[in-house]
Amino acid sequence: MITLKTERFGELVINQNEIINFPYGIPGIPFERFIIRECLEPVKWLIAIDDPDVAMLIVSPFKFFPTYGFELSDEITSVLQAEKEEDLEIYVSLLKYNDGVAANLKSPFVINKNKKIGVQILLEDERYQFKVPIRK
Amino acid sequence: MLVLTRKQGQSIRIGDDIIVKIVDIDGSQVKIGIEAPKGVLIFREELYEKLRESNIEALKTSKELKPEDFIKGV
Repeated sequence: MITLKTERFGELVINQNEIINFPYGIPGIPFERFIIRECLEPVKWLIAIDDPDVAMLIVSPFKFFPTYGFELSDEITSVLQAEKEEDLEIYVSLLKYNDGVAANLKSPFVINKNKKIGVQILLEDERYQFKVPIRK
Repeated sequence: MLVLTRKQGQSIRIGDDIIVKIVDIDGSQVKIGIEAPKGVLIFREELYEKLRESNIEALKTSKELKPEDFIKGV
C-alpha cells in the first residue's frame, strides 16, 4: 500500500493491485503507472501515481456513443494479454467544449482490468475524431 | 537528419529489427511498408502530435470540467 499526499485528491491510498501499467506510456505524459478512481458516476479519474496531480477525466464511451466500436490489432491484444473481450475496459478522455464537454473518440484507453495493463490506441477510423461533443 | 535516396521496392533497415520499405510511388505520394517488433507503436506523425496535444489538453481542462453538468439528463 502506498500513501501519497496530493493537492487535488488529498491523501491518496493506493493498493499495489490497482496500479495499471501502460507499457507504451501515454503520449504527452511522461509516466507509465496509473490508477483509476471514481469521480462522479460514470466519470472517473485516470491518475498518474508518479505525479498524482497529473490526472484526467475519463468515461466509458458506450453510454454516450452507443454505436462506438473498433477492432483491436493482434499486436495490441497480445500486449494487453487479453484472452477475451470481457477482460477489457474502454475509456475515453473528456475535454472542454464551449460550455460543455467533449470526448476524444480517436484515441481510447484500452485496459485489461484483470492484468492491469493499459494502452492508448489511435484509431484509423475517420468517423472518430479527437473532440466530439457529448450531448447534455 | 539522415537522408537516403531509395527506389520503389527498396528498403531501409533500422537497427536489427525495423524495416521500412518503399512500396509504391505515385506523384507526390509514397506508400511505405513498415516491419517492426511488437514493442514499437507506429503512428502518422501528425496524428501522434494531435493525440499528444489532446492528452495535454485533457490534463489541463480536467480542473475546469464539471462532470455533473453533462451527467444530468443522460
